Amino acid sequence: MKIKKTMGDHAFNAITYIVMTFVLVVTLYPFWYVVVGSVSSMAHLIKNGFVLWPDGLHLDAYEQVFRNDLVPVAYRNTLIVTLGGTALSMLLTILGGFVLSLKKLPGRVFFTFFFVFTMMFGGGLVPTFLVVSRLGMIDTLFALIVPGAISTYNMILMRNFFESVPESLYEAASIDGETLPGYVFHILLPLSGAAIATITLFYAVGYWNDYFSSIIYIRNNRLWPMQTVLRQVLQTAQMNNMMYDDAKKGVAPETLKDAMIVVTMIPILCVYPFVQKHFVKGVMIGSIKG
Amino acid sequence: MKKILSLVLSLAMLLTSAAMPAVAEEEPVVLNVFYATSRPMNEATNLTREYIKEKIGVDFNLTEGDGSNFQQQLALYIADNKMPDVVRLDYDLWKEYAAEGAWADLTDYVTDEYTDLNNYVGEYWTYARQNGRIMGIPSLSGTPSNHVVAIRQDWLNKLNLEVPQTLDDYINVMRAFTNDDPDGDGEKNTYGMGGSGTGTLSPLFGAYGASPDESFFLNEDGTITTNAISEGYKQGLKTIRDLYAEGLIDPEVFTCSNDQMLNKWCRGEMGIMSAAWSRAGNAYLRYDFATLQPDAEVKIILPPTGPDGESNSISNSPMSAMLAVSYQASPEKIEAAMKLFNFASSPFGWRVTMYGIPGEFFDYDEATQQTLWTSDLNNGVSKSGKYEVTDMQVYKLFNHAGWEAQGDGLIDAPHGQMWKAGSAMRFEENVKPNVFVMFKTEEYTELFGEVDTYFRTSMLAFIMGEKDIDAEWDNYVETYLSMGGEEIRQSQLKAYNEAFGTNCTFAE
Repeated sequence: MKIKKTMGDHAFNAITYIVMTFVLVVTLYPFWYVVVGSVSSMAHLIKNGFVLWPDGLHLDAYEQVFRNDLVPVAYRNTLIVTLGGTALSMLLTILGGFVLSLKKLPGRVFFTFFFVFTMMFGGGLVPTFLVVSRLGMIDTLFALIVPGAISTYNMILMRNFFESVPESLYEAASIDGETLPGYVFHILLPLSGAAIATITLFYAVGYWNDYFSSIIYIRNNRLWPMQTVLRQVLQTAQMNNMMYDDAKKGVAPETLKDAMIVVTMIPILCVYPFVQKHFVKGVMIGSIKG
Repeated sequence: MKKILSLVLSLAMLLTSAAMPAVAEEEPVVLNVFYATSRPMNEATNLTREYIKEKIGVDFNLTEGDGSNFQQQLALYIADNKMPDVVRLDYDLWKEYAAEGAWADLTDYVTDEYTDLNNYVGEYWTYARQNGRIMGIPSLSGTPSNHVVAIRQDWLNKLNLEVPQTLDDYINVMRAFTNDDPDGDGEKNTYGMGGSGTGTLSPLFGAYGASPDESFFLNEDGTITTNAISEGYKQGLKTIRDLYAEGLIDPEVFTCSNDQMLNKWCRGEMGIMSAAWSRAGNAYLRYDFATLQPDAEVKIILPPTGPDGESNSISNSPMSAMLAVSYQASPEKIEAAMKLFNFASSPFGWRVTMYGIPGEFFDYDEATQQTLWTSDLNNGVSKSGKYEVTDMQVYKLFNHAGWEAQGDGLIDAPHGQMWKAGSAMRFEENVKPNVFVMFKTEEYTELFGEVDTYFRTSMLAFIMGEKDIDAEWDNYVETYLSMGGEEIRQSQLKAYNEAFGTNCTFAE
C-alpha cells in the first residue's frame, strides 16, 4: 500500500535535505579547499582568500613532496604499522572480547575490571617510556604498535557484540561436534562482520593518524611514519614565515602544506568506501542487546 | 687430530691478521647531538656531515627534536638514563638543567687552543657559568635587533612624499597611505601601517626611547629605566592610541599571524610593514609579491626619530640558544664536542654548517673573511648541478647574524636584495639593549608570566581606549609593581650589579 505523503512530510523532507546538504558542504569544503590549495598558485590564494576553484594545475608542491626522500620511507613505515598494528590489535581484541563474553568464565568480573581500570588510570608517560625502553623497542616500529596494541574501549564493544549472539548457537554447534576455537573461527567471526569491520577501521585510522608515539619513541627519522613527516613539513612551513631560509623554487609554504596533507589523507580515505556498508551497522554495536 | 686442529687455527689466525690493516685506523668519536629542528636531512646535508668528519675527526648523529615536545623528549631521555652527548636548547631550560647538575663542567676544557670558539663567545662566557663553572657554550644571535620597517616607495612617489624621518613625517605618511588612495583603486582600503603582534609598534614606541616589551635600559648616568612604567612608554601609548583611533594602523594587527600579515602586504593593504628583517624578502620569495604588486618598489627604512631626538628598535636577546654536554659524557666525548664547537663557531666552519660543503654550495675568502658566493635556494641545485639545495643549515649549531648578512647580499634576485637591505638595517638602526635580558632570577621565573600578562593586556586596553591613560596610569604602575614587577626588577638589578661589579639604581 502506498502511503500518500502529506505537505508536512514534504516540508520535513525538504528541510532535511537542505540541512544535510549544508552539513555535507561544511564537511567537504575543508577537504576540497586543501585539494584546490595544493594545485593553485600562491598569488591566486592570497588574492582571493577562500577559493572554490584552482587557477590551473600547479604541481610544483607535489613535486617537492615526492622529492623529499623521507616520504616513501615514511609511507612504508606507516603501511607496516597500520597493517601490522591493526592485525595484532584485532587479534587481541577479538580474543579478549570473546573470553570476557563467556558468562561461565571464572573471575569474569575481576578480569573485566582489570581491563576497565586501564581506561581510567594510565601509568603515565615516563613509566610507559621506561617500559618500552627496557623492552628494547626504542627506535623500532614495535614501539609504534605494541604499547597501544589493545584498546579497552574497542574490546568492550567487541565483548558486547559477542554477548548479543545467543548462547544456544554455541550449544547447537557443540552438539554437532564443534570445538570452542572452531566455534569462534567458523561461526562467531563470520557472524561478526560488521563489528570487525568497524573496529578494524577504528584501529587502522588510529595507527594511520598517530604521530605522538613516534615523537616519543623514534629518534631515527628513517623510521618516522607519514604523520610525523607531515608534521615536520607543517612546522617547516610555519618556520618559513619567520625565517628566510629553507625553500627552493619558491614553492609557497601554504601550497606545500596542502599537498602534503592531500598525500597523507588520500590513502586512508580510500578505505572508507569498502567498509561503509558495515560501518552503519557497526556503529550500533552493543547498543541493542537480545 | 690435534695437529690438524692447531694447523687450522693457525691458518685462521693468519688469515684474520692479513685481513686486518697493519695499524688499526683510529675511529672517530661519535657524538649524539640532540636539538629541536624541522630542517630535513638529505644527501646534500649528509655531505656536510661527512666533510666535518673528515676535517676534524669527529662524527655525530643528529636526533631531530620536535619543536613543541622538545622539553618532554629531553626529560624522557634523562629519565631513561640515556642522555644525548650534546644538547642544544634555549637559555632558560639550559639554566634549569644546569642547576640540577645535568651538564658536564667544561671549564677545564675551554682552553686557548680553541681560538675560534673563544673569539666567537667573547664576553658572553659570563652567561655560560653556573656557580662559577662553565656549563655550556652560548650560541649568539649576533645582532642587536631583528626588527625593521619596510615601506612602499612607489606609494610615496605617487603621493609626492619623502621617506619619513621624524615621527611627524612618519604619521603624515601613515595618514596619506590610509586616506589618499595610494593604490589608486578608488577605494579606502589601505592602512598606514600593519604587522603582526605588539612588536609592530616598535618604531612608534622607539621614537620616545621606549619599546613594546618589558625591557630595562641603561642610561648614561648609570641609572636603569624600567620601560614598562617609564614616561617614554606612556607617551608612546598616547600617540599609538590616537593613531589607532584614527584608523591609521591595521585594526587586526594584534591578532594577525605572520602569514596573515604577509598576505595583507602582498594584497597591498598596508604601506608600512613593521616586522622582522626578513619578511619583505620572504614576500618576494614565497608569496608572489612581484606578481601581486607588479609596480611595487619596497624600501627598508630607519625607524623614525621622536620629538626628543630618540629612536629605538626593539632589542634582541644576545643569545639565541645554549649548547651543553651531558654530565654522562666521557672525557673523550667532551674533547670531541669541544672540537666540534670550535669548528662550528669558526668563520669558515660556521659557513660549512650554514651553506654546505665549500666549492659546491659556497666559497669563502680566508684572507678577507668574506663569503664570495652562496647557492641560491631559489635555483634549487648546487654549483655543479649534482646536488639539490634544500635547507643546508641542519648542522648549524651557532648563529651569527653578521656573517649571515654577508651571504644574504650575494643573491641577485629581488628576495636576496630585500634580505640584504633588511639584514643591513639591523646593524644601522639605533637599539637600546635590554640589560636584564640574561638575568633570569628565581623571582623572574616565578612571577614573570603573570606580570607580563598584565603588562600586555594593559597595553592593549590603553591603545584601544578601554582604559584612560592619564586617569589610570598611576594605578597601572602601582599594580604592575605590586603584583611582582618590583620583586622581579630588584632581583635582576642585584644579579646585574653582582655580575658586572656595578652599583646601578633605578631611574624611577
